[in-house]
Amino acid sequence: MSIPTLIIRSLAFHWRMNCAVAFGGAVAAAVLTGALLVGDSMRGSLRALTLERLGRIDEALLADRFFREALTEELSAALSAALPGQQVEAIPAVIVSGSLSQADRVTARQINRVSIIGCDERFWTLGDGGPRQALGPGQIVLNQPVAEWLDVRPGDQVLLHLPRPANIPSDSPLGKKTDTTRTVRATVTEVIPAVGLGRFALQAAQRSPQNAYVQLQWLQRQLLQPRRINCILVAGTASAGRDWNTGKLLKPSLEDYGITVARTPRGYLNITSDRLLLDPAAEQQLLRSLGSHPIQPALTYLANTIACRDRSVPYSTVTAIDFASHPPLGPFLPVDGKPLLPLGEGEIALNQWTAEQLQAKAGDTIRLSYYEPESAHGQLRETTVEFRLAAIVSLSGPAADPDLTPTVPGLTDKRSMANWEAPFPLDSSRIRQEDEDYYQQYGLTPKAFVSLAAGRRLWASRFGQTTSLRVAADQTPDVLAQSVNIDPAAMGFVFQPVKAQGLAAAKGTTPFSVLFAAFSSFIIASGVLLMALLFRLSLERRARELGLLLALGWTVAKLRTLCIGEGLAIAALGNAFGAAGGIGYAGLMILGLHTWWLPAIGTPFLKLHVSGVSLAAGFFVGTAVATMAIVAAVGRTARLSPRALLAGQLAGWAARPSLPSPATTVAADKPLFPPLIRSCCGPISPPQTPGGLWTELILVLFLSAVPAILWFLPLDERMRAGTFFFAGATTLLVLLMLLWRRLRRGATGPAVCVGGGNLLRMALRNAARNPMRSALSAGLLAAAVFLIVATSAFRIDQWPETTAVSGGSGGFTLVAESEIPVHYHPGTEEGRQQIGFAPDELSLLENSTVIALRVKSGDDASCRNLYRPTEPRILGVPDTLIQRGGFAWAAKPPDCPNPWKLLRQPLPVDRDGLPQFPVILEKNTANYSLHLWKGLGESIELRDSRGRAVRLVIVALLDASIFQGDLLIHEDILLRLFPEIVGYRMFLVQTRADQAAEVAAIWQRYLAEYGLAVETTADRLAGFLAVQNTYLSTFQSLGGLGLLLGTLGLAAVQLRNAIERRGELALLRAVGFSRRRLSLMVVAENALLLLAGLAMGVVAAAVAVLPQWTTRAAVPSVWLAALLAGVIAVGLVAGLWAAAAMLRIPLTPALREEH
Amino acid sequence: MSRLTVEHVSKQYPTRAEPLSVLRDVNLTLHSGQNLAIVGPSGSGKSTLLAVIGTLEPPSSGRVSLDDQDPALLDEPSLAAFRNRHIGFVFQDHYLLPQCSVLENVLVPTVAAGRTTAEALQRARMLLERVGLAHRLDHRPAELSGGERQRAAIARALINKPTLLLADEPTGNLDRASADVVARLLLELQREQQMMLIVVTHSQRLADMMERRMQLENGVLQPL
Repeated sequence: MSIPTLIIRSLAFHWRMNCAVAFGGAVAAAVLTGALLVGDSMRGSLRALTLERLGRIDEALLADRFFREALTEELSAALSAALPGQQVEAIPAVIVSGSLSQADRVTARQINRVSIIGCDERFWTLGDGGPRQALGPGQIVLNQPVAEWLDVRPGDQVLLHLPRPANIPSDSPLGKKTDTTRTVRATVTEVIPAVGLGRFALQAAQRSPQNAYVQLQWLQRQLLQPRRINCILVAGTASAGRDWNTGKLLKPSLEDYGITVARTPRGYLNITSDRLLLDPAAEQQLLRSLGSHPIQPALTYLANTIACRDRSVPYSTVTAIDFASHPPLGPFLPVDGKPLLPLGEGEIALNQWTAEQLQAKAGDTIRLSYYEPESAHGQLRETTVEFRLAAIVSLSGPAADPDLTPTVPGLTDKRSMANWEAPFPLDSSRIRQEDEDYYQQYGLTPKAFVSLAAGRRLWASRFGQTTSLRVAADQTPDVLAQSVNIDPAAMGFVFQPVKAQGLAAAKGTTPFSVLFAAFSSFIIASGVLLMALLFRLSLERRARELGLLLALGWTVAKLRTLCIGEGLAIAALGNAFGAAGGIGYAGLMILGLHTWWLPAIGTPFLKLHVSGVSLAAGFFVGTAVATMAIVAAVGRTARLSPRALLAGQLAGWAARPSLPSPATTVAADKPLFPPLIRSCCGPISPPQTPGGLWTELILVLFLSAVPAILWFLPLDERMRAGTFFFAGATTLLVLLMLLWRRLRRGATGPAVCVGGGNLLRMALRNAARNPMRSALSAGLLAAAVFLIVATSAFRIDQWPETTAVSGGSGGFTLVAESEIPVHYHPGTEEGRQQIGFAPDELSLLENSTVIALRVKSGDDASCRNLYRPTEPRILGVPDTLIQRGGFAWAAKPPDCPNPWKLLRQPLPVDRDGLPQFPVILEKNTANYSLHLWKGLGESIELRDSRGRAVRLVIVALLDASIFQGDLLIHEDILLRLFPEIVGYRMFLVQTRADQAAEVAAIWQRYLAEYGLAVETTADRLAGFLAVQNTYLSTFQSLGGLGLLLGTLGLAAVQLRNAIERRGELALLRAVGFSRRRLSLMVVAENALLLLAGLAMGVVAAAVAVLPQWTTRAAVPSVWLAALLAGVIAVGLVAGLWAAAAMLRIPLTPALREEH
Repeated sequence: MSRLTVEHVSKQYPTRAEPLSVLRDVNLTLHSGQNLAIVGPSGSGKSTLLAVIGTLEPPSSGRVSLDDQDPALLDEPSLAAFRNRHIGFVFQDHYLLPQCSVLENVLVPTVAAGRTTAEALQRARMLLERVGLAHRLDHRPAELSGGERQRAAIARALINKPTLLLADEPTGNLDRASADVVARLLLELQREQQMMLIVVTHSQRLADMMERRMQLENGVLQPL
């Protein structure tokens, strides 16, 4: 016989009890493993979604302009050459954001934020889930979310609201501000499920995207971009290695950048842009590439008026140019024959025709009126500047060059000024016959010239500073174009490794393994404690057996080895089952996340992923924790004397050394409850152990002092919450210690007094029978209650100050977002007129305050997106919002009443030379999505639209705001970094609450073509809160499961007590205790422990959440009361179960049994 | 004058085979102030008979009445109250509550009835003084010797002035000297309080101290 043999025999013989012990371990291991598997599943599912939505697509180029479709074939050929033998391909596509609505319905449903994907059959070869038939012109395939929302089926017709691509930026005077959308009709041919390419999206999000697929050529036609695309999808490059760069193979021509090189009749090569202004990056690289040639930059601008004294000429072009002296770029010849000197800053030269019209002579003051080069909200501001007439040039030679004016569709292509389709207010009454004649003869040939510096000072904008580069070269335009080397990346032609980015983002913003392990921590602790408790009970049951072994000459060490060995075997067995059971637990959690806790993840996309590492980790960590619990349980047992063990005295009063009796003064009628209360909270009789009173006094003083001290400490909110939570946990420990000390010292008051209530007194005394067991049981419940109550204080059903200016909504009632930029400001009278609201609706809208924000699209970094954001969305905060102020702040510099103003403060470049700009974002976004835990002063690096790195430094943090998920920078900085952004896509509306629904409806009706969606700020905040509350619910639900387990532990303890005391209980029945009174006593014992646990948990939780309870108006007291009532009910049921089990024990055998 | 009547009492326990008869047609009458020893070999049914008389178990057939009252006709709460008022028990194992003091243990039966009165407290003190434990009132059972524990159990059995005292091997766990003390105490108190006393024992020495002696063998009770 060896120890292992003895262990095996014991395991087999005591299998029932061992199974119960193993159960505790199994629960802990299952929960721990399950939590790890939830994390695996989250990452695995996000990863699977990425692979599913992208199919074979590894990289994507999505440009902000349309370019030649042929570029795709060129790239494809280059890819095949560079990666021979590999299945690489480049696929053309057009992807635009738009909206769809039902056709031919009186009240048509509309869906916004739809990705309209123009593709051909090659697209569907990239993955699964394509339609059965190829798409034809006017046909559309919808994915399921879109079809379900619109309630359309194959055969139905839908209206597509598409953006109308414009070359000239709409924020410039010549850019179109109206008619920026186009609505076309299409027939639904098929509805495909949102799987495979049916959920194609370039941005990572777990929610199903809203997609509509149309034939590529048809969409190109609708967008007036024949054979042009804005997207290239590349497949098969993932295996090409780390250093692979598809962008290097991309060789866009100047045409792809919208740049034209043409030889003019004057003999020079004119480089212009279809955007009117050459992109600054392109200009820079053109100048560098063509440095060997004489180059003359020119900036031609439209002046509304050129005036001298009381005479004027309307709608004339003025060119800013530094005169060249040699052909073909010069010379500009003055009419007076004097040498033409370079124009100074305040000087102007008129052509001869204009000077005659104005009757101007050298030295006269010439007034130029023009619209400022950048507009906001479609509002053009006219400015007038004065120049001194320095020269009058002959309308011949280089000065009579209509190519100085770039092509402006709607103007330069019209034969008559009367036919102009001007995107600005044109006063045709000002156009005289002379003007018309000039236009007929010379077109938009400039009528005046200023220096390049002066012109750029007046008319340069974020869109550029040059309308043409005039190159004196003999080469053909094609040869020159080919000699130009422009970096595609600088022009926004950047291939994003979408799959790699998606897979990286699939690691998620939240470590779900840690989150669920934390959520389940109480179940794990309960499982471990239950196991320790049951193992100890098992040892107690076998006390005689252990005593015998000691009596037979076993050493304490050997006995300990035996016990621990047995415990380890049980723990390992339990944990092995538990690790396997973790798969089930993870499945249950996933079921929960797909049903009860769905708001936490938004969409039921999770699939169970099981990894061996997690299973092993669950098993080993679980076994290690269980081992510690078992070693602790064995430790005390092995120290007991053989005699005590042989007498079966392991637990309770019998096992303890002789204690002085409590002060059993039964002569007087004593009140019942003070002893109960005082037994937990303070001494009722002189302490029986030396120093006991002092120890307890110190503990009580400590308890009272800690919250008071913390209250006055200058801590920030997060530190304060954390410190108080820690103080609460400490309070719980101290209370438990006090309870245990009281029970251990027998300081529970008299068991029998003259008068009533003795049953309860006896119950209290019985509860003190085994102090450790009772304290552990109460502690288990107290810990559960502590966690559940403490977390409930963080639950917010609705922000109380939602509508306040200083609240999460900033006092705004509605928030509207459009898919297509809106150029007119619905908050201004002019804007409302331009949009065309009906007169009877204007009065309602006039009462609203509207703030419009520019939007740089990006990843959703709010709590609703589980992917880690790569490029969060950026909002441009206008001065109107900065001046107005408002919103709630989680962190801001001291003495800063309006942190919005910090967005204007200039910041120095950082140590690496990167420009820095101030940014404001919401605290949760900073912490959980971007992992910027330090808050103020932390920075985010991002790249502007030209690929240059910049750093955004946090200057303030919003608290629980409608701006969750967004980065907020000053509008001017946004436009500097992303000049291509035009119009406004976000509107904050402050209106009366009772008019909000009506205002929202009007907005949606009039701006439907822009894909505008309006929601109340309360709803938006509630949406964010729902996620937070769902996480709290998850924690509380799992805490509740832990509580159930704790209650099971309590019931097990009670049952064990009943079995141990079966003789005594039988005696009580024999002496006349009815079953009812006996049950009452057993239930009361249970209830006392339960109430002690609850009270301790609530008190400790109250300390932990003191800051929340004092700063928040609404505490979910009803919910809490219901929860606590539920806990009491479950506990009492457990007690009743124990009582019923006890009463089932037959009387006579119990009285006869040795005890 | 109180009277215990046991008439044609039988007790059977169901087993997997045929029912096991433990008591067969037991008849017995006892009056106030009388005492009786029942002896017999192990397994003869002595404790079962005591449990049936003490209303801890109902007879399979026959009738047990105390002062012409048939407790079998009572519901459970009434039966518990009947036992509490009329019957005292002393067992081989004292079954003192280890968490309570000696005085509290003696008062435990009063808790079953509801309120503990000052008279009960006075009687408990008196009884403990009578059994020689006046100096041990606040001690815990773990701090008493075996004899002292049994004497405390006797005091507990008498707290409600029962008319019938049932003792199941009351000296079984005691040495001879302690057993003699306990036996004498039982008899003295029985005579003082004019109770009926039935002692079930293996001990011939204890049986010899009783006025009447009967033997139970194979479930049949016969005068010895």
